[in-house]
Parts: sequence; C-alpha cells; structure tokens
Amino acid sequence: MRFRRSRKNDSGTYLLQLTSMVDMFTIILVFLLKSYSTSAYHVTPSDAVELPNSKSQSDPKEGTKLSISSKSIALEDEVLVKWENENGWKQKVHKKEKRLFIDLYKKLKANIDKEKELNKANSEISLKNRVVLQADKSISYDLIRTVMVTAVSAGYDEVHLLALKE
Amino acid sequence: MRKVRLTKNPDSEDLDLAPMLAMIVSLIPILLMSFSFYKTSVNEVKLPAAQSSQSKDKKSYQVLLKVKNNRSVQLEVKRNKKRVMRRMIGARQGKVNLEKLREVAMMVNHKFPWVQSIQLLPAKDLSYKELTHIIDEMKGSGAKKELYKSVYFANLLQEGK
Repeated sequence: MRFRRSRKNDSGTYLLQLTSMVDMFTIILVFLLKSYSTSAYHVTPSDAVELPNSKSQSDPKEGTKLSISSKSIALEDEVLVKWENENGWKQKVHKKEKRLFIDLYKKLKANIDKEKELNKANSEISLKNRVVLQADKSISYDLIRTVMVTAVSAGYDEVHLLALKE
Repeated sequence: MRKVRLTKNPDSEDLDLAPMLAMIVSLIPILLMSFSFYKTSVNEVKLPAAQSSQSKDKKSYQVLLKVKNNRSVQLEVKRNKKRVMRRMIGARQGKVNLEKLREVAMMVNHKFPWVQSIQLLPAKDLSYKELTHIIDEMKGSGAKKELYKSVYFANLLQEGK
C-alpha cells in the first residue's frame, strides 16, 4: 500500500494541506447563511409542546408568548397554571368568572397595562395587543377557548396560533 | 512551432489559508448556535374585541363553519341572519374531510366573493392539530388562491356554547 508523502518545505517542517478543509467549511458557511432565518421575530417552541404542521406561510409577529402544554399554561416561559389529570385544568378555572384563569388574567392585564403606559409615554412604541399562542397538538379547543377568553378579557384582540411550517 | 513549457517558479509561495480558516471556524459555531432547524408559521385569528371594529361584509353576509363532535362539518351562509346556503360534509374515518372542506369552501367563496371573513364554531374536543388544519383549508393556505382573509371564533364569549 502506498502512502502519499506530506510536502516538506525548505525549513524541514511539514505543510498541512488546508485547501480541501477550507472548501468544506466554505460550503457549510454558504449553506448556513442561505438558510438563516431572515425574519425579525423568532419564536422558539417550548420543550413541553409538540406543535402541529401548517400550510400557512405567515411569519410570527411580535406579541405576548403563551404556551399550553398537556400539564400547564405558561406566559413568557413562566408557568402560571399547573394541573395533574387530563381535565385537571377545569378545576383551575375561576368559579364565578367562568372561562377565566385568574392568575393568567392578572398577568396578562398587567402586561397590557404596561404596554398602554409605554405607548402613552412614547407614541412611537406600538401597542402590541397580540398573543402568540403555542399549544400541544393534542390540546382540546375547550382549553384553547378558555385561554383565549382570558386574553380577550385582559384586553388582547388578536391571537396568532403557532405551528410548524410544512 | 515551439512549445512553451510551464515550469513552476521557484520563488512562488503557497497561499496562506490559515486566517481564512480561523474566520470560518469562528463563524460556523455562531451560525450553528443561532440556527433554527425548524420554521414556524402562524394562523392569525381575530378575537371578539377586534371583530366589532371590523367593517361588516357587503350586504351583511356571514359564513359560519360548524365542526361537530362526530367531525362532520356544516358550512352555512347567512344574510341578515337568514340562511342562504347550507352544505354538510360528512366525516371520513372519524376525521374532518379536509379535501371536501376545501372544495366546498372554494365553491362558497366563488359564489360569495365579497365575504372576506369566516366564523368558526368548533366542537369542544377538537384538537389544536385539527383546528390548525381546518383554518389552513379555510384560508386557502398553500393554494394558488387565498380564500378567507380573516377567521373569527363564533360565540367565543357566550357561555355554554
């Protein structure tokens, strides 16, 4: 078996052949730059949530991030409502105010009031009364509806249902 | 004719690729770390607070899509609260027949092109996955022609519906 000899330069040290390595790295770099997300706003799906696929091509816009998994509801990664059984969330709904998660409502209300204050102080800051909702694909509409009612009651008027692009 | 032989100049030096390599090696980890291997999209849904401020469709037409517990679908067109058209789509193997739904939605959209919004009334146990696929079909996502621009949830705030 023959081996290729590494080139030796005049000083006696071996020269490393980097050309093929540079070629490979350049290809990787071009691929990464080409498929790099150009959208200004990016939402990372929560680990506890398995998103469904969607044919929609609309990119996510900035908004309050709400995530519903099979065991909890989180607002901007802070878990606010937690339950154990499959329909355990029903016990967390406010008894008098039907279809309202009271802890979630309070936080959402505080969020929107803060947004309004910012908007009042500086009109250039746009009011973001939008919720970006990510839910596990098995979550029922009944639970999603309760969360949406909570958001409406707090003052939000738009929901963006997050999914994975097909 | 004399042939000119190309000979290597003994004074020439190899290109120093080390700085370029160093730059690429530092760029790749940064790009890999901030790279998302999935792409997300959204389905925009208006909530009742926004719905009231929207301009009403021409001649007060409404398109209502009702998804029942057995996954059959009822598509209804109303004018001034009176039914103008109704189409029923049966379930297929216990699931919503999405192909038929798209077909009917296109037909309704062709007949009433001025209606730009649709109201959804899903069954309580409808999953988020099914809901996403239904909204996709009603909006005409992925198709050549967009069907309905806005989607609302009907009776969102009404108790017991």
